[in-house]
Amino acid sequence: MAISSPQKRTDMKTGRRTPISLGPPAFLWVPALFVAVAMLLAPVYLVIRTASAGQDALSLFLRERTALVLVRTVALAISVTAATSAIAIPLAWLTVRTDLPLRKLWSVLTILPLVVPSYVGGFVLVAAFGPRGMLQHLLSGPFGIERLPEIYGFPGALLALTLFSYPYMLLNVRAALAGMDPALEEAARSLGRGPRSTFFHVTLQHLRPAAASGALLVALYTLSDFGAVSLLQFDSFTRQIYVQYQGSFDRTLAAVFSLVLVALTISVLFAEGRVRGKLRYYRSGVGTGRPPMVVSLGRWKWPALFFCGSIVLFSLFIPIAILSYWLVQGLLASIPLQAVWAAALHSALASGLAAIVTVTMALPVAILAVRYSGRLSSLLERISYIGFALPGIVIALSLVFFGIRFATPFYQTLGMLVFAYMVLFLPQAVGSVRSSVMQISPRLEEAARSLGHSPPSVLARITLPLIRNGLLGGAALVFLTVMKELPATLVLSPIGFDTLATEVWNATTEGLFAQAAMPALLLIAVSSGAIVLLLLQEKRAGRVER
Amino acid sequence: MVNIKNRMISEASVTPHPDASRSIETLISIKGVHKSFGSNTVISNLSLEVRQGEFLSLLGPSGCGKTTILRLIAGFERPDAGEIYVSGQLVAGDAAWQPPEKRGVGMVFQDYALFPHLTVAQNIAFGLHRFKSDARQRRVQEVMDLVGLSGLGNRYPYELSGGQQQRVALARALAPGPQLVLLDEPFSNLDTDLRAQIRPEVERILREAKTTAIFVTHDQEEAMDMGDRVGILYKGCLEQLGTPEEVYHWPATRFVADFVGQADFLSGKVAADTISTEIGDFVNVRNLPSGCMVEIMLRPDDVQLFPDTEEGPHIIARQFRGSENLYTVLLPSGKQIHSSQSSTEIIPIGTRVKIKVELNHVVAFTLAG
Repeated sequence: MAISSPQKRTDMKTGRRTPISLGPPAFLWVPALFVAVAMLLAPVYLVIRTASAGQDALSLFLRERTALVLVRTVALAISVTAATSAIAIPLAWLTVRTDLPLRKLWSVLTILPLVVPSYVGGFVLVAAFGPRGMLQHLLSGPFGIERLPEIYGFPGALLALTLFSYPYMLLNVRAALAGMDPALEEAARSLGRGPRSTFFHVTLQHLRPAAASGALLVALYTLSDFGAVSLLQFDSFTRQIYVQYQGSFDRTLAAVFSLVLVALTISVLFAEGRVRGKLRYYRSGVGTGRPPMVVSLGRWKWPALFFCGSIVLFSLFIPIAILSYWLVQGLLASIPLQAVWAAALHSALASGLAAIVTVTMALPVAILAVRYSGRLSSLLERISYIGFALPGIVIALSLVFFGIRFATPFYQTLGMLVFAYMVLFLPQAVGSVRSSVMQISPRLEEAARSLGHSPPSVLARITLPLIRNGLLGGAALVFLTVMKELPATLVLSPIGFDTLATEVWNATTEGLFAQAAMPALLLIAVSSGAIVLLLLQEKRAGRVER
Repeated sequence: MVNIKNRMISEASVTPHPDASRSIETLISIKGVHKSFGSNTVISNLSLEVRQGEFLSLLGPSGCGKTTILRLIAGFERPDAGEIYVSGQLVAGDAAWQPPEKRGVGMVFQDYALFPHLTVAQNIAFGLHRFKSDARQRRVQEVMDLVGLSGLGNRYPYELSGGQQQRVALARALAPGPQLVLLDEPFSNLDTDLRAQIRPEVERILREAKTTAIFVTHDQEEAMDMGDRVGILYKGCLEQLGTPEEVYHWPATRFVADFVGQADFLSGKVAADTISTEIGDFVNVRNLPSGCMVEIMLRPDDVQLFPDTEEGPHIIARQFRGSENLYTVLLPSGKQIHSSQSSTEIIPIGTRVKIKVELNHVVAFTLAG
């Protein structure tokens, strides 16, 4: 028997015949090529610009200060990851495998902090515990306390990032726990292991890959985060890049910092990919479909409830209470709201444009990846994921460099901002379009061809109508994600073009908390929509893979 | 792997082809086509011709490349070597390439591939985009009447039964009036009862439409029933192309003999005018050289059993098949052969029998050596 090539093997696995012999038509690969160039433009120029600074860049790189920022950034990432694990793993176990009272309610409430954008979280902490914050305000009168412990710096950043990013880890671990075949634990019990031994030697071992994958996600989130660390004035790379960009004429240091940060995020992504690959190995098949064994908590019920309650209190109820407090303060002081409406309009305009452009660009990439699988199209697809690997502040900075040097008329226009959004959020759109293209049988397109329709006509009359929901879903997702984007908006938006996100930022940095409350609440609403969409999409993608 | 083909030696090649006398125009001509995916060869050196108005069925085990042949003719795959002509025009080869939409070849897919966002009428009208609006409507109505779907034009595919979906697929392929319709395992998605009911109807529709048809199946009954000629494929090679009767009675290769119908192979040795085997002598029709070792093909209906003897081989199994019983007889050499007898009489297991073979034609394959 002849040994088939890897290409053919994957084809047989998915049961799809891909007509690889017939090359993709020009109306697909030309725009896809354009997308690839667009994605690579700014990051490549960042490297070139840094390299051309030569000796200067090297000496900046070797400076003690760079090492200091690196150590701070890594320390924050590790601490946040450890703290989220300590919260998320027990929460996952309690909400999936025990008889915790109101289990369903807790499992929803503990996921919800996901909807708080990190800079809104930062704002909440500053507005509550900062020098001019709510607590200070309440305490200074009756108690005469003039100074609270410092919220700025490492503790604040750690608290904000932990409280609002632990759900990423929780989702991962919970899925692994719920998907675990109960037969594994039953087998351990039948082999003479007690419940405790089974938990440590079987259950926890089973969770390891999911927890590792979740940990790397949280680490990536922390490394790329700009809003929380900046508002809480912790000098990690993202904040330093912004400070250097704003404050100095020579922006070489900002470029050097960017490259080091990119090296960090790429190594985390790489590690994440490896763990994720293994995860598949651990996950047992369809399984028996039986619900997993439920552990009776007994008198441990109360500490468990206290634990869940305090997490939800700090990550959900207190932030909303604080936001509401400042909203009411603002309304009482009748702060003008026109600025908020103008910002909301700007946000909607930029997000709408970004959604249309991004999904249009994602279409050829996704169709090529699904229908014409090959080395070139998978390279193309990988390039489109650049936005996922690079922090928003880095892409923004690269575009500033590129814009000033090569595209001056384009610099500081809405077009440039939308372009940045496309680079950042193309992966989301490609993922969404891709999963809906995968649901269409290639036979449908072939049937249309055999009925006398040319490839563009087939795209217009068969493919597009059938993936309409995927396109709309992708556009909605990009729309909502762009709404809450901060760093690129801050750096690239045209002068006077304030959005909800920059409004929160400006008001917080100036200590005008009442003014920040309204846009912050609006953003939480928008963000909730995005999360719901994302979860729905993951569900659908899961079905397709199966 | 060594693959020795036992070429057939019988009178088949001297029998004139039933259709050969009539000279009918060739519609499809495939010349020396090769196709491989990666290092996996799917079609090797395939040549065949299909005449105008003919029904050709391609039969073979799964993975023999039969679907790939259809996809090559339709233009969904490009041959690595060789040429394909439709109505004398080169559509695929080194010198030319015509995309599927230019070939005028209709296709009915295994899973029908009905467009889920279009109604039945819109599905059927899909290939009529060059027609004027009123002509298109008339044609849709005509085809719907032909396949018996009148009144269902406004339904969506998911509102139809499997059999109705199949007819829509057929109607859609026929609507533009293609010279050729390709059908890929057209009945495999229907359950057995429905299949028997729909098959003659599909045949009637295709004959009425006066179209040429090539269809692919792994069901030999289907292939024999529907095809004017049957092509037997094995590992990407065309083993035999002939009428159903030829393929059954005069199989060209040992594979065809085994694959089409049931057969036992009894070894024998050629001695002058006869081929002698352990159950008797057969006529050496093809004048094989003396001393040559061969295998003789025995169909169960060629083998007669006569019980009530004291000696000889005995029956070791009986399989009840409704109108007939299939007996397994153990020969002294240890070889087993099968015989089908009317089911009105039962010969008990263990009974010793006398074997009589009545062959109208002796099919023998030389043994590999």
